[in-house]
Amino acid sequence: MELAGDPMISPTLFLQLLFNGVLLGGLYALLGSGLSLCFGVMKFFNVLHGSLTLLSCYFTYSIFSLVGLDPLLTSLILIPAYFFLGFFLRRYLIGRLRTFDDILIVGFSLTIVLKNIVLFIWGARPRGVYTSYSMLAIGIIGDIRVPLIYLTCFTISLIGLISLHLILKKTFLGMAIRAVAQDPETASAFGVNPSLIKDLTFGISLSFIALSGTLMSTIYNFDPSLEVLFLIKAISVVVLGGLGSVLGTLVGGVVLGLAECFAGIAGAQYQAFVGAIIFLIIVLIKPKGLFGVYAE
Amino acid sequence: MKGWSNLSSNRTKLLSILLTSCIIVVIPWVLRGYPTLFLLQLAMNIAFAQSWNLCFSYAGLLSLGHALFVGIGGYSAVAICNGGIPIHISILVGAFISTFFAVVISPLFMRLRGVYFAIGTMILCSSFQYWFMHWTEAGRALGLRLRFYPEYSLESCYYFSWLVAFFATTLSWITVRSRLGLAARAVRDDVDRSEGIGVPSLLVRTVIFAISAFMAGMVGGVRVAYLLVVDPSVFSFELSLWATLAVVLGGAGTLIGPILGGALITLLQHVLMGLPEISMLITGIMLILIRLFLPGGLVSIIKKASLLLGVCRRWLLS
Repeated sequence: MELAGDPMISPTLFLQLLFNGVLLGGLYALLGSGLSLCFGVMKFFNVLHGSLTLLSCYFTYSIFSLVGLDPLLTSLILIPAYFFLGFFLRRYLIGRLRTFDDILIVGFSLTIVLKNIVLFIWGARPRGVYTSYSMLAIGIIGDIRVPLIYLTCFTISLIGLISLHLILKKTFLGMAIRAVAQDPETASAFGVNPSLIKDLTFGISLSFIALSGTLMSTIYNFDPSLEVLFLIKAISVVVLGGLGSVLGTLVGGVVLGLAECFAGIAGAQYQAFVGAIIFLIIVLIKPKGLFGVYAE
Repeated sequence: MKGWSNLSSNRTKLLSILLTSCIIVVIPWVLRGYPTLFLLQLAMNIAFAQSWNLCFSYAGLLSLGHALFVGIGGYSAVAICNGGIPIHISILVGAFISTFFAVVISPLFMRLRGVYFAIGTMILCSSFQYWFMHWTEAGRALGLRLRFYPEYSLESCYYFSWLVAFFATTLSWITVRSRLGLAARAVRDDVDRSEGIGVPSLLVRTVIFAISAFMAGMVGGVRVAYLLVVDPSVFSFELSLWATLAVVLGGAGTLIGPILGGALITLLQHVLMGLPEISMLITGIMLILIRLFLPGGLVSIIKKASLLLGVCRRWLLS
């Protein structure tokens, strides 16, 4: 609040916030892409999104502090691990649930289970991953400096999003996923097994969660209460960007990132609100969300 | 309750209710201290579970932020009581404020369907938690303390919380059996069709939501009256989930289910009190297992058992 005493935003500060917002937005888009894929194809709202992201942060932290492996390399281990976790979770637990109430209640129970596993193993103290390059920053124009880690995360997120786009548009698997998203029954008539495709989709969705969690851990200090925030961020991105395309997710992420950075001027405590407020406003204007499907 | 009717007549039902009430009234004189506290929390869990059950089972509103109304009720009760108003009146006014809030947000939230309603309520509740965490007048993370409260005693809180539990159960019972309850169930089953036959779905759901918020607000007030303090953790997602667990465990869509479930989760909370992480872990796993293998809750077991008992009795008599 004290910082808000100066109402004038200098052009330098404005540009600095702009850069930070866009770079952070790329990461948020990656966070939202998993949820968007999951909801678009399976019509399953993955309420575990936040806690799985948090778990990925903690795994990165543990591997970094015990073995000393670079966080960015850790993602190479976590992505396949999360893929199989997602595959089997969908196949043996979530796939069995029929009604929507069951899905939500079981989903939120799993959230609680994961949160308390985190509390039990790592405790409630905030943790962070501090690498040798965490504090480096590079100058872009004039006084504007951007942390190297933000730039790296943005680049990796962009690579992740582009590869998701290519998977969906260019491969046979992507075609099958889009077919199942459109109409599972017709897809099965053409020799696609919808259940298997959904298992695989959930796996892919979770591997994006693993990647975004790893990247988040290098930027944020995290503690077990952050799971709800991660979930809210992901939902806001999805609601903003829609399910239609990877580009939409990117736009949603950047908008959220910018909104958060500029809300920071008013006071750090408002940053946590922004995602929630965006979600509420959009959902109240369009009660069914701005959702499309992975069609085209 | 339906499954019990073949076993017990209305007279035995009434008798058992009277007997339970007598036991509840006598207990604080016989067992002082800890058992009283335990039963107090039991009553509060029952009332909160009834409130959630009314929303979820009879109107189809899966609210994952029901702690919001507990929090609003609690904070208003403290604020009013610190202004010099007697505690019981403050609790009542707090509950009305909570109801008013439910009515205000209803026109917006009732438009949300399915998953959006659940996520929306959850997000609203956690936003409130952040807000109160940083709101200076509400004491930030430390919350508000009850300052003016000379007549504090565990016994009075105990009776008041049981009064609230009885009130919540009776109110649910009346609501469910009224025309309103019928309309609510119609809306729950199919919104569009019930609109088609002339049920004002928005109004019905708003009223049910408001009644439920009133009960939850009372729970919040009683919570403050015996804890003497209310802090932002009252808005926590875990609190909302306890109500969910109680209802799912006991059996959703019945009136006896939340009572059974509320009693069981209180037991669970007290047994696992020393291990907070483990307690929530077990809670989560239990919810999953019950939802997977026992969708009807404990009530369905009792129903089956009573059916079996009836069959055995008939077989013995013949």
